[in-house]
Amino acid sequence: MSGARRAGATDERAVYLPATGEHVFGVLTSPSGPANGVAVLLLHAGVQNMSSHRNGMWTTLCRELAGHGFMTFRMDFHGTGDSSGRLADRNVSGQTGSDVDAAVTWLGAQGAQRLVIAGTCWGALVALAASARHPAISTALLVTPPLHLLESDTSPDRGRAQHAPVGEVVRVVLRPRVARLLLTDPRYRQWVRERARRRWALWRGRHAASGRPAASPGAHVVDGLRRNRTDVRVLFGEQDRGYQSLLRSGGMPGLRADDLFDVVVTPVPLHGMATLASQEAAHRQIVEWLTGSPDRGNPDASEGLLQPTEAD
Amino acid sequence: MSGRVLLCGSLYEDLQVNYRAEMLLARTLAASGFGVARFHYRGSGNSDAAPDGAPTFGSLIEDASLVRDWLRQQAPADPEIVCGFRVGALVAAELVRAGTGSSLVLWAPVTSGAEYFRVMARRSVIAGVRAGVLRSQAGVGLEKRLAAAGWLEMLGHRVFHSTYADLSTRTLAPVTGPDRPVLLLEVGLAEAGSRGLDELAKRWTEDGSRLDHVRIRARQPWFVPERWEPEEDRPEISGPAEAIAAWTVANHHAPAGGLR
Repeated sequence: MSGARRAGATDERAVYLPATGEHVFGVLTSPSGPANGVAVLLLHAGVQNMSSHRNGMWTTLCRELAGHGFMTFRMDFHGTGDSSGRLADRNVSGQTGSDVDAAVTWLGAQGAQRLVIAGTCWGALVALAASARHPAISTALLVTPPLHLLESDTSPDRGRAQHAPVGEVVRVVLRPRVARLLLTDPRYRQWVRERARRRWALWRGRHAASGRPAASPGAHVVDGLRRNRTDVRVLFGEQDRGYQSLLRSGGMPGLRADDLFDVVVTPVPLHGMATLASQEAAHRQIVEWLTGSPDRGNPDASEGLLQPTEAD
Repeated sequence: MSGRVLLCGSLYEDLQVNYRAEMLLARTLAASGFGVARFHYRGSGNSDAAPDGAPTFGSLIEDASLVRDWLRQQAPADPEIVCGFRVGALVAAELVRAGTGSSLVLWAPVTSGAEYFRVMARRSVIAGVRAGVLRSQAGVGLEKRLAAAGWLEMLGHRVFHSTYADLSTRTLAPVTGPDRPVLLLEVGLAEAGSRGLDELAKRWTEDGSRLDHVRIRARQPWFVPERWEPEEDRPEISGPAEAIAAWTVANHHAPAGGLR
């Protein structure tokens, strides 16, 4: 950080932003080094999470980036952390989209000249969708995004890449414990009915009247990213389910956007940021993307976003 | 205000997993007229680093006392309720034992720091095996492994030996007396309650505590959830907020003639 002071709590301010009837919570960290005009909006992975992210990884990252001159804002989606509401629908549009829109608008009003958005897991998918909507977002930094969900309907609840085959479902249902639950627990029966309904809706959506698969919702996102000329950088753990799903499907079928994404793959499993190694890998990569500081042992690291670009 | 509530949360993964429940409790109590302060201990969440990099029982008490003092300035005359979740229950009980507050809420409490770390280590192994990042558990005890390495990773958090060595010697301080009601709120997967908490309730009651014991059944283990559901729909998240708020209102709400 070349002598710049790492930020602390005194450089931070908690805010609640109105967002379509809800109030989303966030923490703004002001630059503690010479300001560079870039704001970084950080999104966590959704449910069971909070603005500081797992193990305080966003808190640490925000304070380090502030030392490099970035303004950062780590926020809670509605229904998570300190925000109001109930996160019942994990589609990346709807209220979730409004949450992010409120933060993007607010950061613009704070004087940000350039906006970067970063997210992990589901939050990365939300970040990608927001980048397609907002020309103001110049760069999206995505850590282990479940991109395959863009092929369905961008909701982890309705868009699982792989459903169990029917034979497997029958085998599970025939287990004594499951059969007993089906007979005795109305809540379990309700959950099974709901799941069956969702699978049917998904199947019906994919095989619309013509018999051909319906258009991919991800295509709209790709169109937006191309229109906005968004710089999209992705970090995957090579064993992460999202990455493996992409490999199995031969890249990004339907999206045909491999040229849009600058992908880095690490051997560290990243999904859920469940280990210190995953948190450190994500931290290191985001700092490197933003500042251009070469990663330890990676002398070929790319230039940071602060380097002048042709557009500048 | 009907009273002020100091909410002492937990640490590590407990903090994150239960955060929404703490927030819901605070807002439910606020809707009933209580002022509630919740906070992140140094070394966690949005707060600065812990002194010397690792939290200790002393630093947890200091942090909680700082927030308590601030809360007292906001409403000096109101009755004070101290609520502690998991390892925060050790902090809350210690504050009440030392004279803070008129009543105590123990929310899914651990009875000792040693138990807290033992359970955390076990859950860490289960979560690690399930995620495929951990295949076997070393046969060496937790204490020895911590002492040898200086710190260990548990559920994606760095647990320092100094924190373990200090917290693991702490046990739940008994709070007795008819003027200090205690709510023991148990949350678990099993229909039957925890033997440790049953014994604690029995012992404290025999020692003169005015203790209510409530049990809430969780639907799935938080550390290996089988399916996603909105947090407000989980009985282990919404249940405690409702139960604690109802108990607090019943014990502290100002009747027409003034505060109890």
